[in-house]
Amino acid sequence: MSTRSVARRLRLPSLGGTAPTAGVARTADRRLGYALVAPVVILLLLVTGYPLVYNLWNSFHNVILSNAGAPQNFVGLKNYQELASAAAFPAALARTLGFMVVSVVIETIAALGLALMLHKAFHGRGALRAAVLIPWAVPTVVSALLWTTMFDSRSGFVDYVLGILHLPGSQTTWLAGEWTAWTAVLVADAWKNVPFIAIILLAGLQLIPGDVYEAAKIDGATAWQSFRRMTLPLLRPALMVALIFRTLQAFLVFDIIYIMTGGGPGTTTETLSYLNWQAFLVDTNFGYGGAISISLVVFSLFIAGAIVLVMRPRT
Amino acid sequence: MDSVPAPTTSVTPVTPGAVPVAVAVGRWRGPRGRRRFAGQVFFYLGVLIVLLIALFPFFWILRTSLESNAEFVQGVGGANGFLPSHLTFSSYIDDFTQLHFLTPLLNSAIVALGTTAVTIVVASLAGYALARLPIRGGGATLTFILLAGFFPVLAMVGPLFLLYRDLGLLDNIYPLIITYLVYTLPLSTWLLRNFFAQIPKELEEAALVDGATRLQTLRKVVIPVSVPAVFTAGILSFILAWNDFAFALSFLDSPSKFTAPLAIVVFGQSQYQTFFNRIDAAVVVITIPIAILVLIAQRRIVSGLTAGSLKG
Amino acid sequence: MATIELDKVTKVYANKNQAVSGLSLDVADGEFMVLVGPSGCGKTTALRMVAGLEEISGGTVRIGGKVVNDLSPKDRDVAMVFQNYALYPHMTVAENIGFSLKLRHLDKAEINRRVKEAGQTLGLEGMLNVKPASLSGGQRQRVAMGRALVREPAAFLMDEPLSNLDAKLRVQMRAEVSRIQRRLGVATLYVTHDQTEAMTMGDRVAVLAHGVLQQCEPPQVLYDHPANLFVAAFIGSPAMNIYQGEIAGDSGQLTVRLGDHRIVIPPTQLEARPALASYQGRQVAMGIRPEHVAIGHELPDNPSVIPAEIDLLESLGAEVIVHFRIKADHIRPEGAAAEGEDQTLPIAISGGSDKTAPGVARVDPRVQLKVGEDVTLVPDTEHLQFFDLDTGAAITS
Repeated sequence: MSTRSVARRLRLPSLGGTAPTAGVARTADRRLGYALVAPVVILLLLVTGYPLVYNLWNSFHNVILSNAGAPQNFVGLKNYQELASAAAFPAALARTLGFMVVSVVIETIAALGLALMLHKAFHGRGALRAAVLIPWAVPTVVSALLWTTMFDSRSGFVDYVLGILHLPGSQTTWLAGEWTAWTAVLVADAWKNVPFIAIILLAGLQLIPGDVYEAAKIDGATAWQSFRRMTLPLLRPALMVALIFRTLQAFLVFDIIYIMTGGGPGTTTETLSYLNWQAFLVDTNFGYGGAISISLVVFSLFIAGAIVLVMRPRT
Repeated sequence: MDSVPAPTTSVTPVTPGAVPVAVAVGRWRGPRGRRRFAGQVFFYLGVLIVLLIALFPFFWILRTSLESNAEFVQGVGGANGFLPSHLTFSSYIDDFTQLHFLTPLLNSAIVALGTTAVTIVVASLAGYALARLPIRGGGATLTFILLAGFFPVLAMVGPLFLLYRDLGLLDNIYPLIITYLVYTLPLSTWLLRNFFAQIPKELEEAALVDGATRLQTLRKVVIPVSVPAVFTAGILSFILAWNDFAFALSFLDSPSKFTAPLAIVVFGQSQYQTFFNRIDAAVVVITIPIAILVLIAQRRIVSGLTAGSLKG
Repeated sequence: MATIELDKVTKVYANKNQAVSGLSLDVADGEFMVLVGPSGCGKTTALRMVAGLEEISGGTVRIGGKVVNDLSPKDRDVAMVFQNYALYPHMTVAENIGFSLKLRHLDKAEINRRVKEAGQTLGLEGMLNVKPASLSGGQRQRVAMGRALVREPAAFLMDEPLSNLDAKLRVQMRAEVSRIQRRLGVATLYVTHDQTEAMTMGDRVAVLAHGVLQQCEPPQVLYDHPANLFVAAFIGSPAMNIYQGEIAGDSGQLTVRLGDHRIVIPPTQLEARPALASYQGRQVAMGIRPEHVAIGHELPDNPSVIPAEIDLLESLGAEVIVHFRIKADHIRPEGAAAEGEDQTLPIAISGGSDKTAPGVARVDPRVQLKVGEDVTLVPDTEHLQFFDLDTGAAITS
């Protein structure tokens, strides 16, 4: 797979052919180029490549730190078999996929609305955009704790309002029930991430030339038809980018789960990343954890690939 | 790897197309004008609702943080209604005196600034090389850099834990500076690379003809002209680095080494009965600088998030 | 003795596109050499190869006698003025001009002195501490020139420096640039697509088409003795009238037949173009410049006249440009094709359904002419030009 075909596959802008120097100078430039790129590549390889290889290695061995004396011998596919058989992993996989789908769908639709809103030129658009950016900019920890507070049965806003409006459920301990806990997690996740998706979609909207709509209007399209047949197709590239990011992030969700629910109640909100963390840092089972990690990487690749395949703009 | 922002188009926003939301801003003009006016009202109502959703939670935690311990235990309702019956700063004081919250804040600042500094330098050099120098495999390299940004964070935690343990670097904030680069380098390199690529070639050519070497050109001509983009990359990197929780949770052990996000969570968990008023005070403290940063640099942040090619 | 020598220089791109083919050119010390041609002819590519901004595929480039093919721009001791000026936006005018000197570690006093001098030469005194963004196009162009001047280089390279200026400014700057270059006496390679600039500024003009050098001579020589159809049509405005005609021998005289009419070729022409005789019975391209076409009303005894109809009159005050139509086959050589037409055809012969061809004449305003009128064209046969239809080359010896 040549450089060019990789770049073309991902539709990256063309590279390298812009060096305005000749002869010997060109070779010097090339060497300089390698030197300048080296730090980034080395650093990133260290933080991603090294763990990948190490995980792979560990996943075929018995590496449990808490068993201080145990030999770390080769165990073949045992860790992977454990993945498939132990109830925790498939259940977590199902839950994670479910959360991924639900959150991405809801958040994307909401973000589309927000992007359309931000696209209009109106007084205070800047203020709205700034206000909406803050939830994205604050650490996930803030979002998680903030919504834990909001959903708390005693000091939370949600139950307070439900009580004032005399609606049922004003005494719910949200994080103590499976579905209510997922709801709280979803709200926290959406609150932080809808702005992010919206900004990306907004950029896509701004690329659509205005005369496309005017032509459609003359042709007799209603607002909805215009939206469906003009906006959405032309927004496809931006949607694809947003989807890749958010879908993977939702699939790999950890922070919110750990902070808000700790995987609970029981194990009902355990996601794959949470399992991974547990294996590494609680069970200190780096072999089993390694297997989970490899599966995370593989699933991520599949998901990203699937999105690209489905959403890729047809030239 | 929460919230690694996306590379999309570098856009100086073009005149927005008239997107057909079912609303038109129009002047009062009879029955049709009345419909438009109603539409306008609904639109601004929508804006208001969005604003509330975005900002009200901050109000709520501010409110909670200003409750005294006694009121908090009481719960919300009655006299302790929408606004607490007594406002007090006791939570803040407690956070800083009893829980020594200043230390985690400093730790976070050190690490985030460190990561940002490293990122700006490294990403600028790499971005320039990828934009202007004739390296073979530039496309593949850029692809790798982008893909690295998608690597599952939790998959990195295990091996890096073992590595840092072997190097005696656990419970130390400095390895975090390197670790956080996985958040910041992909986006920054992409952003800066695209920016450098659209600087007119003639500018660098003039410098070369004037007698500058490549590095001199980069230093004296390209970088000075790129200050806005570098600044944007810096802001985004800072936000991303500050945001981390998973790595801090995994590599840090003693409270004096915690970063702010970790500290808040651990402090909150350590109480038998979670005192949200104290947790929320810490949350407020952590939020204010970020909020200010966003308000000041909001345009830059948006343009940085959307930097790159939307095609792919 | 600093000179620029190009020896069979070639540029081939990765996609096999050959931008410059075997260009050989010498610019003497102090000479102002203009590279001119239509867009895409390779002139800018050639210039950039001399500057070191483009890799040389074949041939050698020598500056000051030294082969520079493998040298980076900074080692070639050339100064360049870019079409879009390429001023450093973050530096003041003074810093822009002095940048190259700073890079060479000249001491501050010397840099200041030279910058001041350049500023005076170019009328930039009041603007030395301003940033380029607040300057007009003409001022920016002068800063770009100042940046080149102050280097005292072995050669000047200029890439269409005047094309972004408005017409009046361009005329003014033409004179300035020429004056400055003459004063400095530095070998200069100047690229432009404007043949007027080429003619007025160059000591010698090199005409390029499709990467191949057509002719390199002083302007007047190009004008009076174009080496081929392309140069003939490219140089001179309004362009030379070119028609297809047949050489015939008529009772001892050589004539060229245009449509139904014959033009007698005078003996002086035959002396200058002995090869013409061998073209008897063949078609050739015949050219005559607008100023060599006289227009009259009567039919004089002179057999070498052509009836014409007046299409359009353009009064320029000092003269009148007359657009006419005659019965003949018109030739539009390469480079003279209209927008959007295929420029790769060497010649385009058109005659229309009624086989009339357009032409242009420059006449004294005192001649009374009306549109639609039938008149007589009297070509000054001493100034006819003849070209081979297959090669486009001028028919000489």
